[in-house]
Amino acid sequence: MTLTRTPPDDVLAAPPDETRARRERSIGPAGLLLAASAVALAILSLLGLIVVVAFNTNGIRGTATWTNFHDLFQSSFAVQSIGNTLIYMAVATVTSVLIGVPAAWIIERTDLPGKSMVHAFFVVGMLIPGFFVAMGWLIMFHPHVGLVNELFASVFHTKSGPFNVVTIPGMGFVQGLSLAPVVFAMTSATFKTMDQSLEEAARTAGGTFLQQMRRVTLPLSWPSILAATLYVAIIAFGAFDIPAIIGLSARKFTFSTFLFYNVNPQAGFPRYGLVAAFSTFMIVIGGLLSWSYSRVLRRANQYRVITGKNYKPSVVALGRWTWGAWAFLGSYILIATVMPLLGVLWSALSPQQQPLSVSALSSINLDNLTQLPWPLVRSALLHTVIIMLAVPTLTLIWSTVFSWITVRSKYRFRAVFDYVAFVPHAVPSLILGMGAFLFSLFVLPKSWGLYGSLLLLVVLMSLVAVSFGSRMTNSALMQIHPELEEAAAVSGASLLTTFRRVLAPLLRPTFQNAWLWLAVLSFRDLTVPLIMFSRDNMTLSVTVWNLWSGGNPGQAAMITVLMLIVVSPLALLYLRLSRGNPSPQVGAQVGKEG
Amino acid sequence: MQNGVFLLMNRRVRSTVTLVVLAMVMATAACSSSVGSAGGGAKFTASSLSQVVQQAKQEGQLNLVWGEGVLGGTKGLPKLAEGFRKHFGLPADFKVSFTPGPSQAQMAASLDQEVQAGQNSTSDIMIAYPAVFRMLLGAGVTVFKPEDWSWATDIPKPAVQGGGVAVAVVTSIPVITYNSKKVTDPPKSMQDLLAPRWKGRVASTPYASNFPNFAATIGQDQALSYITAFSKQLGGLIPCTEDNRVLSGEFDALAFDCDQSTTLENMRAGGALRYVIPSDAAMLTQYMLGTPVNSAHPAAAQLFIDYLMTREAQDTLWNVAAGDSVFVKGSNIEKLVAASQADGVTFHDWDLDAVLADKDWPSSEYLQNQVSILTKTK
Repeated sequence: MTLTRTPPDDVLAAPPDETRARRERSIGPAGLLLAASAVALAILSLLGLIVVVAFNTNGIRGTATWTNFHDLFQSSFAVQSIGNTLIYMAVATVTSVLIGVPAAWIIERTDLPGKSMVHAFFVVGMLIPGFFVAMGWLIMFHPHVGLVNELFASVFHTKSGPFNVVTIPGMGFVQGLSLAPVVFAMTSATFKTMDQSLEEAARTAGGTFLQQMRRVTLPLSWPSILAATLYVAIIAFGAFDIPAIIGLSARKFTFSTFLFYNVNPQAGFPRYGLVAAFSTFMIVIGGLLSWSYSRVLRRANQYRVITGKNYKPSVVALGRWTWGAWAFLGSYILIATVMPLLGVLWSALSPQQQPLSVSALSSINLDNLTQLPWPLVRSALLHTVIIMLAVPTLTLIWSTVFSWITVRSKYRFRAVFDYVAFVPHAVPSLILGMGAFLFSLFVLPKSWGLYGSLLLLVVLMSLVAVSFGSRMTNSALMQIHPELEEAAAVSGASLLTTFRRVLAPLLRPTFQNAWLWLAVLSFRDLTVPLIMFSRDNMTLSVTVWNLWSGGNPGQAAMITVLMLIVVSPLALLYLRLSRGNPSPQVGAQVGKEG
Repeated sequence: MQNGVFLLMNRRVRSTVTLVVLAMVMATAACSSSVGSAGGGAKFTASSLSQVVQQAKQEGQLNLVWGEGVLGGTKGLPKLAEGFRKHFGLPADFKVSFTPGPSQAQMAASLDQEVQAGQNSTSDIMIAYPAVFRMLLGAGVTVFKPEDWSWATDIPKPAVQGGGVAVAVVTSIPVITYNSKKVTDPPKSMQDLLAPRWKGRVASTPYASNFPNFAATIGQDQALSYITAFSKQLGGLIPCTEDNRVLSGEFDALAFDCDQSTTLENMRAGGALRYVIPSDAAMLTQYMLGTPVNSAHPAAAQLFIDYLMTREAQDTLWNVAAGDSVFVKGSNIEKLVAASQADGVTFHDWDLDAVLADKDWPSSEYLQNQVSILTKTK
């Protein structure tokens, strides 16, 4: 007997009024578009203000003029800074690629014993603040008083040691060392997922190892390497920590220190017009670099060779080359991480800067710790913790909104949002910081009290971090099929409920990793907090800067050591959550979706 | 454990807790700003010390921002703050916060902007040399107003300068600082530093400390010629507070060092730093302290300046920063000056009144040019 039964009315009926009303009240696509537009507008406003100032005689209050550009072209200081920046960028980029790419290949494609440890070092390398590396290198390799140079001079009875980090190429090299882990992260995914069949075919055809590398492996990974190259070039272009710590006292200026110097002049008043004119050019150059980067990434799709069916990554037996690989990686770890760490530790424990000797060793103590200005450190720590909690959270909320608009919506101009989200990476954060500073000083109502506030710093740092966060959320959202959300929508779920019940659980691993990563990046950032510095928003990194530049390197080093101790558990947690493999998260995701 | 509790909550509660925590963090961030006191500075008038003390109590706090090496920095300020509270019977919760900040010139630039934008000053007290005060007073924006210091019984009248805009709290003797372990034949004059043996071994300051006074002393053209030649001799630029880089051997000498203070401190500790008063540039200058018109706590600021001129505070300053004022009787710096004068040194006194009165004082453009030559930023 077949029982035919009509479905109950409540199944066929439209969602009940209460559900429908809730859906109507909830945030819909238009709400998300509005939110994304507000954030995009904030980013563009900061840049727009810079352009306005560039064409104004007196900040934003004067009359229209070309004078600032005329002054810029007349300034040999500006021209020299551009030249220095190009050399700095080139050396940093070449250094980071020459270290990062071979390291990625060795880790992902060979049978090197203990490579997980090296892997962890590279991840930790990304977390070490730039100013820490700069301080360490200055302590170790200063031409007159560097510990290594002094040791060299005493051993070989020479007047001085051979190393000089206080040059533009020297600073570029240090920057390259600190960027090598980024190249490593961005290229290791390519080596990891490269199909062995093509390489096997090369070997079968009688090709030597070097021929195989030159004709197969490198061409296949070329787009990824090029993308990483452009990515780190953009970072080096606007880098501030290392040129400031090493270069300022030696009168070696790059773009970022030129900008900082003119905004904080040692005589007279800030030359905002000149700086803004310079920045306008840099915005254009940054835009071109980003455009090249996105084109390279688009072309990268043509190089995909993973078939899914027979995919199996091959492992190259290093044999007698194992020692060579270890020497290469070990040297990098030694000079990029261990030596700066020892240098900073030495400075932190020494009562005064002194050469390494037995008598000096006996004088080390904890005075720099006990005599720290603790009220100041506590206040800076509180600000830093607030930043570490608020910036990743705000960034991920905004990034998710941007990603939803870019990846899921059908809005006609959705690609614009993706581009705007990437702007903070293309434009040096010092420029955005200056824009925010001027905005709070001259545009925002005084009664809002945002000038010099921690809240403004949090918002600005979150805007800057959106470029990174949105790469992560874009990539993660792309991997989730829209059918799941469609099913939720058919079941009557609002967009917010869909996100909460469907997307959020699936995105949780990405959120966890990105949140931790952003927290650590916020923790170590010096550039944005320094340009926005006030008594009310002073962070630990700015405290280090002020003590260092105020003639208290021992205490600055001590705080840096404490910062590393604080951040280490976060780094370990990150390694644990990402199962020691950060590349898909911080490298490929940053890169592929660029 | 806490994480476990968090996981035990149901999803809705977890979301709510997360949102509440985020809201609290953002609220804390917002409250960290000085919203409550934003504005063009509180109005402050007083005719007696007790009135000022009363108003300072009402203000309840004092925010100070200047270079780490000035007036003892993070080490010295807590001692001064403690003495300040005791001296005037201020409550224990009266907050004196000190934050190490940028150079005098940078603080001056910030202050000028803050006045223009109608924001409170970052620091309730501006501390700078007379040259910086002159620049601020001539910038076209009213950053300081002449104050009536008649209530301030601890401040000797000659210390109140610029018609009352600032008080000379600490006297500086610009010197050449050198490392006695590396320099056996110390320079006697600025001219000596142009000798080939000093090339790459001498440092100067990025803000051309004391070169404005130098130009006013020897003449602008001569000073410019000197600084052009001197810039080629430089091994680098360091703030005055980084004398330890001379001590470490990075440089053999620093000229001009802002003053004698850090070198004296090092000598007290048995260090190798020594100083000479250059024979061709024997000068005196003053750390001037003024209350900006947009100070959020003007009464507390002026009361603190008054305190700094007490015998007690001057002794503390000498102990923590090897500096005190020639205007306060029995000061150590007065003895130093007298001893130098006995040796035949004639000082050019560049206090604020002298700087403001000097019709030939270098223009702002000239001073910027000096800095550009030294820093190679022209």
